[in-house]
Amino acid sequence: MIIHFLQIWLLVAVTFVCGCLIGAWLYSVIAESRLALAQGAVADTIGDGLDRLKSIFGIGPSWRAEHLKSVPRSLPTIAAAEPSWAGRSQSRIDRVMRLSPPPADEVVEAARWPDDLDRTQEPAFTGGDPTRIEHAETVSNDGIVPRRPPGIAAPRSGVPDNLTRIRGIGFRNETALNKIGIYHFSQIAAWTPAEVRWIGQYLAFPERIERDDWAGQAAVLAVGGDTGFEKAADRRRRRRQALHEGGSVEEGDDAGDDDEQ
Amino acid sequence: MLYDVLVFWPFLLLALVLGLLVGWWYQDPRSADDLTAWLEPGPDDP
Repeated sequence: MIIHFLQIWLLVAVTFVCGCLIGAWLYSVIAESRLALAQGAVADTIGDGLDRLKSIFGIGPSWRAEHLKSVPRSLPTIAAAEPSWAGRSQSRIDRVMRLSPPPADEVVEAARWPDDLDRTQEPAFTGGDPTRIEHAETVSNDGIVPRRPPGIAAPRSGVPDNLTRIRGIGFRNETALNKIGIYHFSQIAAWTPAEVRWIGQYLAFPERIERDDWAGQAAVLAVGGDTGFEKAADRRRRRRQALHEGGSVEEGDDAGDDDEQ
Repeated sequence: MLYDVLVFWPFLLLALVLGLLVGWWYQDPRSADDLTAWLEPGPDDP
């Protein structure tokens, strides 16, 4: 009886492992094929759907689902707005544009992308890790030509923004961004897709910036808004502050943090 | 073994589908991003 029971579970486990291997293999094969674009679109759609569900149930940042509606993200829109897309993949872009022309309102939104910085000139600040910069300027298969965003030598007024308030940016990424002259939310909010690609490759986090929508978060934070995203450290600090104001916990006492609510 | 497969095939199918999803998710770079985004230290972490 016991052996039979174990045999069944072993069979289920082997089937599950086989499924994992097949799933991973399928993903790799499709990612290398012509269906890669559709694969990414489906994954983004599912991700956006999950974000909306989280928003509905109050377990995710509520601003994101609404914000995504106003951000031009489709390939045709990006291709129309970004001159740097011209190049070896132009024929592919033309085909996408012909098959799926961008909605008129997206084109209008694309035209509103901030262009107050002169991006035709070399960035004034050229610091950063040379190895990372070389990697950042690699052109990927989709034809986006990465472009370094303008950096500044020092934060304005000597006070940088706390970039770790953006989901996806920790101390490590903040330090890396500071080294290439990115100190303020307004700089991140002004990134174009080509610059986002450059930064993504510089930080070695492919698609991370697009996925977490750093530019969207930065746009909200730059005008003093709140994205609803708070990291564990922020939560602990707020709880500690609330408890301290209530007089029940001494300053610096972390012991009660996890017990609170 | 054949008896087990014939009797418990729905569970095996479920395990296969779950495995497919996990394998797919594991390969998708977005999954790693989602995890690392939450594992990164916050402003007050050492």
